[in-house]
Amino acid sequence: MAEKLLEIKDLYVQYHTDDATVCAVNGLDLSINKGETLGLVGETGAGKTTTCLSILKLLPDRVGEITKGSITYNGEDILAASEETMRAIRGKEISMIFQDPMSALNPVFTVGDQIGEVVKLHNPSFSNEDVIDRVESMFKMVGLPPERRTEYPHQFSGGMKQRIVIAMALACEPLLLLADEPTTALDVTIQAQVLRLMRQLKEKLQTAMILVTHDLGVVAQTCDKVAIMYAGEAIETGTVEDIFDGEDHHPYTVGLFGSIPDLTVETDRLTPIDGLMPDPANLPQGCKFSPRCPHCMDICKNESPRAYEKDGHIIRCHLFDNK
Amino acid sequence: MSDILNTSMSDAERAARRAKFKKKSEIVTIWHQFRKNKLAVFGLIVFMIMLILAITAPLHISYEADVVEQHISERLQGPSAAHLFGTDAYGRDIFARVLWGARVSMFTGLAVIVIALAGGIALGATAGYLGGKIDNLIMRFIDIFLAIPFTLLAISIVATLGNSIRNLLLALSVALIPKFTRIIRSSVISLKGQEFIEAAKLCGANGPIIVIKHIIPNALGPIIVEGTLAVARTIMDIASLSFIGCGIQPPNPEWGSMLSDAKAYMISYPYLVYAPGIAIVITAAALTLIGDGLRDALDPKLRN
Amino acid sequence: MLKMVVRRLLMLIPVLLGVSIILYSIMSLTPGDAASLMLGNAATPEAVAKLRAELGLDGGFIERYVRWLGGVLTGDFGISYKTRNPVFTEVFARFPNTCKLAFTAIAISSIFGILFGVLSAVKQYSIADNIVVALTLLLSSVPDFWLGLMLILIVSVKYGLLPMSGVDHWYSFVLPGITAAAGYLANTIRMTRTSMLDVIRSDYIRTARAKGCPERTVVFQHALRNALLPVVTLIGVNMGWQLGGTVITEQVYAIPGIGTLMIQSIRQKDTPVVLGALVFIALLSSLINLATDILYAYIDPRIKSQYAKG
Repeated sequence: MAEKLLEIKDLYVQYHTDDATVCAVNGLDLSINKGETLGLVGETGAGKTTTCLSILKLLPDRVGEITKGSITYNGEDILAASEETMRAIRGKEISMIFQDPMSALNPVFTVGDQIGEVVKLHNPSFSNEDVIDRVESMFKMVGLPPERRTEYPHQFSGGMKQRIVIAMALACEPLLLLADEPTTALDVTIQAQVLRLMRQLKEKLQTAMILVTHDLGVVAQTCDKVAIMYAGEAIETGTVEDIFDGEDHHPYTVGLFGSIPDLTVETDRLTPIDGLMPDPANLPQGCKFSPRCPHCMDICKNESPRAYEKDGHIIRCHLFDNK
Repeated sequence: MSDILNTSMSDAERAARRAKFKKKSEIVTIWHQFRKNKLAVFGLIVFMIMLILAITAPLHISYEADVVEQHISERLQGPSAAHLFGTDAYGRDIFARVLWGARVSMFTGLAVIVIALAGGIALGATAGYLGGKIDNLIMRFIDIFLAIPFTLLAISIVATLGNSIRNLLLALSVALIPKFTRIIRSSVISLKGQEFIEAAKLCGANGPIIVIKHIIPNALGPIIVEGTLAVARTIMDIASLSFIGCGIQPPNPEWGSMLSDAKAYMISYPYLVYAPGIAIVITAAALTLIGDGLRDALDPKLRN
Repeated sequence: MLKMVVRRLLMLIPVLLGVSIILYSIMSLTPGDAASLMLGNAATPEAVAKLRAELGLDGGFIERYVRWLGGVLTGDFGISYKTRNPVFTEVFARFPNTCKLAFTAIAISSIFGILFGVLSAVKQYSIADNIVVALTLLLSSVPDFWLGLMLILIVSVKYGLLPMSGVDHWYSFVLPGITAAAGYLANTIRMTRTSMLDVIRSDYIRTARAKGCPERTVVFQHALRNALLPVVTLIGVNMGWQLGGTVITEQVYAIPGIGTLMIQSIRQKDTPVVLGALVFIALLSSLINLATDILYAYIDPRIKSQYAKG
């Protein structure tokens, strides 16, 4: 068995606004081993980004709050760690690629300086030449001409900016990379390039990765393990094989697969999941998927389902109570 | 064919009804949002009290006997039960004069903004809607005015035309028009490109109708916010100009000119400068709170 | 960059020309004939005509304007009706005082404005933030001249700490500086706070945090530089306006600056001096605005590259 790198247990995160308390993450369990890629799949608002921000403890000040649970990274309790410890971890051991490369780079600094900053921060002994060397090698690694490091973000296209963001995230060879929909903001052709690049780099640097996406195709190509998130919970977790080829599934997973077109099977129309994601400020009792679930039973409306596990394939659903 | 026409008619009707409903609910939402801002509501209450006092002043204060007439025997008396804020160097009751001053300041302030807004809307809407050469011409002209510091422009106009309330009004309005023109022009330009304006054009509405019926009502939000804040500033400017002798002249009970009179005596009788100054601060602060509250209430970004 | 500066300078010419026409027209509306006013009722028509020619008052409006403008371009702003000295000498003699006052005020409003604005944005909702917000409201609602009067009463009269008038020492400018700064200080605080709050919530600040930057670096390097972009423009505009806005402060503290000269000349119907002072200040404030634009291009690479292209 591979070594456990990160483990999230029973995590609860809330956002407090003037009008309401939004429960973004509700009892999430996740784990990832060294060098592994975990796909985090779910609709918008399922709590994927919040999960990533919680791992780095970068939830918006005063608004976001981790109310319960634990996050353990390499044996260290992240939630109890000091801000100083977290700063040493951020960018060096765990780094993050944000959704929108257009706004993720500071417009008034050159891109080289921005990559150099993270190198210098975590390698205080580096001389300026060492930093520049590293920046240039990162540029080459992501396929950009090194001499462009003295240019500003506005001089690059969206795909190039995302390469720069990736270079920045990998500059200190982190053990864990949190990629929050790294390709959503990009053109389809660029998407494929960026994904291939990330896969190559990951293999080269032996980095573990949590890939947040709502694209099941990307998951199938890239990931070792998959967690399907719904309303702040991982309702089904397993290996890619479990999720894509396994027999037992959570009704939501079934619905999710039913709503994507399949080129090999001829159907007249896709089968979308009825209804909408529940309002996270006003979640239903019991199983959060129950209002939309085609197999909803009485128990689903009152009690949260327990996790049912078979060889590491975990499903949270009352349908499996008897198995 | 008639079928299609029918549905489209009812669609248009429905859209119109929806628009009407939306307008109404828009105002309700804004008010709802405004009410949540306690400071803004406080400002509104304070301003309302000041406004009522100003409007009702003639009911309990006689302009001739209390505000203008001099009572030398009672000069420079400190605050007392008979004279709440004391009396000035001519024996006039400061309370009566401050209260009457609220009339002068508020009405002049409002009048300036109304005139300046009318000018600004006319110029800004013309420039923004027509664009091209006319826009260029108007805006270059505005740029020239903007290159002259505001106070100086107002002072020089009053200086040439002579001191009077009318000339002060004129000077401040002229000095403010360039600023409003700019604001209104930019919101007209941003609205002009929107689809409902295209739709109105397709329905055959001509330029002036589009501007008056469709563009200006939609640009009203920022205009009201800017206007409210500008009233606050203008009340202060009127006082400042009167203070340096380029505005409302004694014995008119304007706050600035009262302070100008008081300056000579203030070291021995400091109470002379308290009441008129505090009156300006309260009025300006109340208006600023209202303006800020409106700005926040109108900003959809802040709604959630 | 040089090309852009030159182009901006050239663009300034029509604006300044327009300013001079407008101000000249406004001032020429002043009722009464300066020459007869100066010579009194007993003067012969010949003497009046002679003086008018001497003062450049004969001929039509356009002729007079062109003559005046020609003079201005060679540094000759005409002759004061009152003192018979060249206007330029009169204005320039008062210039240092106005300058000192304006720059003290700008320094106070910029330094404290940015400081308080950043403080209140970084510590949003804290007591310090609430105090700053309240102070901003107060500062923006106090008319300069009344603040001046109150400062004189409290600081000078009651505690005798600073002089209430004059320009003899550097500290003579402290109270006038605070007085003239008040409104601009409020603006600068507001603008810095809003802009800083905007920037702090932006994605690239989150990126900086995710890199492991210490909070100090995040605030003072990543956020501040972006947040200051609009503030720099505001300060530049303020500086231009400040030169014109010191008129009132100068009156309160009896500072012999351009503003005092102007008010005095207005009372004495000394039109050439009023006009000269106005044009001088308008020219100066336009140049300052231009300087701000150039500075802006230096701190915002996006604008710089725009200029480099164009």
